[in-house]
Amino acid sequence: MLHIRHLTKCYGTVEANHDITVSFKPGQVVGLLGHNGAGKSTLLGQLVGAVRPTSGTVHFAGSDLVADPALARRACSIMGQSAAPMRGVTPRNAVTSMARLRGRTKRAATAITDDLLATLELGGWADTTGERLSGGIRRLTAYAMACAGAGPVILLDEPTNDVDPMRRPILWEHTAGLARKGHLVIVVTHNLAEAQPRLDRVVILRAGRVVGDDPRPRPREAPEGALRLTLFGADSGLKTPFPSATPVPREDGSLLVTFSTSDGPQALDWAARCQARGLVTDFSITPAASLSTLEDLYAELHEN
Amino acid sequence: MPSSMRTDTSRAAQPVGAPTPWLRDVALLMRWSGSRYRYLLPAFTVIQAVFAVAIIVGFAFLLRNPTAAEVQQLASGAWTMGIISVGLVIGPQIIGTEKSEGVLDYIHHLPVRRSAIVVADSSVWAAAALPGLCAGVIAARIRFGLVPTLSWTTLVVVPLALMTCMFLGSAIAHLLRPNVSGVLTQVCLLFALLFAPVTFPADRLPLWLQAANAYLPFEPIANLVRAATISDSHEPAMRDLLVLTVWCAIAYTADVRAVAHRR
Repeated sequence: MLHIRHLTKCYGTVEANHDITVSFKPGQVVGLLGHNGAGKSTLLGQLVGAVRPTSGTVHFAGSDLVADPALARRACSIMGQSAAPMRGVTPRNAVTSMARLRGRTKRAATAITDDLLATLELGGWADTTGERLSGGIRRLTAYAMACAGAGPVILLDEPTNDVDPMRRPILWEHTAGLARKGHLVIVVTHNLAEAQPRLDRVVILRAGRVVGDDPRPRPREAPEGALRLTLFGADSGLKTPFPSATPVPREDGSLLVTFSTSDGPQALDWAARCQARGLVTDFSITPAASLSTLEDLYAELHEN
Repeated sequence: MPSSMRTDTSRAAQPVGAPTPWLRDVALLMRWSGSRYRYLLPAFTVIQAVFAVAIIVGFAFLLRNPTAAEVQQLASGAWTMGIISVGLVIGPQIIGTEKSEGVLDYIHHLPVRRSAIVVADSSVWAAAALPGLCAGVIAARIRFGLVPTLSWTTLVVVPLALMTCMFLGSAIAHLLRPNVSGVLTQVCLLFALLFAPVTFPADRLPLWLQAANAYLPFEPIANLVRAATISDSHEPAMRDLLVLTVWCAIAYTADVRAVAHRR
């Protein structure tokens, strides 16, 4: 078990996180969600011994990880936000080196590397040096580097960034497999729609505080026959033909309008005309019940 | 089921492993850093070679009919500057770049001792400096017909001087912001070149600067390199060795502490 108690980190007068108390058990994929600056990466840094908490404790299997950062580094392996060092190094070389540095024998490290490269379908790039690889392949290699010979806790900071849509499910499936083997996997992600089916639990941070902690968020009950129209590239003052539906600006710059199914044809027609006139760049209509953004999750937790 | 779920690619159920042996970590890190820095080696050697040739050929224009002692001072001074420039300028520049790119954070997350990271990186840089030092030796051979001698003191002094400069440069690069460390290391290089008795004798400096240099690392390195490579005319002084060893210990400790620092 990983127990975090009253963890706080201040940089001068700025609080990166505040009084975080949460426990994690092995064998789970935990989604750590929150807006930019919510303190997610700081928390991962505190777990892996790179950030010294201002106060509070982190205990893993009875050992104090704050007092012993070397133990923290052996217990947790991390795939950070920043690039893994890949220049001049091939994925095979990088992954093998990580397994060796985590104490594996040469033979075991080679087997681990072959296995990870095959599973993540990286075989075609295994012997290409980092500077010639695409961002997505480098990101997948960084993921393999974090997993190679990893200890009980694996921390992933936005692992699917830059990864092509074909390989993302492979990565998520692998992550779920790590949890089945008994690892605790903590994943920072903004891509909730993609991560949701694979998460065993969601912890939400806002302004450095835990504001939500829920086992596997289920899609909430849909309002009877509701649809959602998402408009991309729209001006926030755009007037809709539905008097009851106020457009809600979203984190990604899009506008959201919720309306009843009976208004569907009218909404589709209106959105298509907006696009034709250049008022929106793109739009989508989905059932309002689908849980795809952080706002939905906030709303879900708030309602609960 | 993915194939990696069949192979034991990670250790979930086992307790956290004990630390791996220090020497093993150093060797593995050196191998890894070596392959990462391999692409830099040609540029590295060329810069050093140009630097050595510039001092040996260019500085000689300042001297009319140089004496044997002046030639020895200039040639051994050029080799010394080669050591100082790698440790105090090129190394910190690369560390500064890695710091900005987040590569240093990645390395600091690895489950190895901080001292292993410091020793491995400095050893790789020291080894990478050797071809450039050889270029300096060749330049001295062509310009002055001077050939350095190889003795046990060379095998002690050159690695000690190299490692001291690497630790110093690395500590500066780790502790300061890249733009600040860039300025500081350039100032150090200029000081070593113009205000320390490296390429010229100490008695040309004002007394206060002579006194200051006795406690700074550059003069001891120059004296020791000269003594070690031109050993028929110079004996290594224990005082120089002591001052350099103290600097090496201070720089190493500062570097390890900088790498171990938690944000």
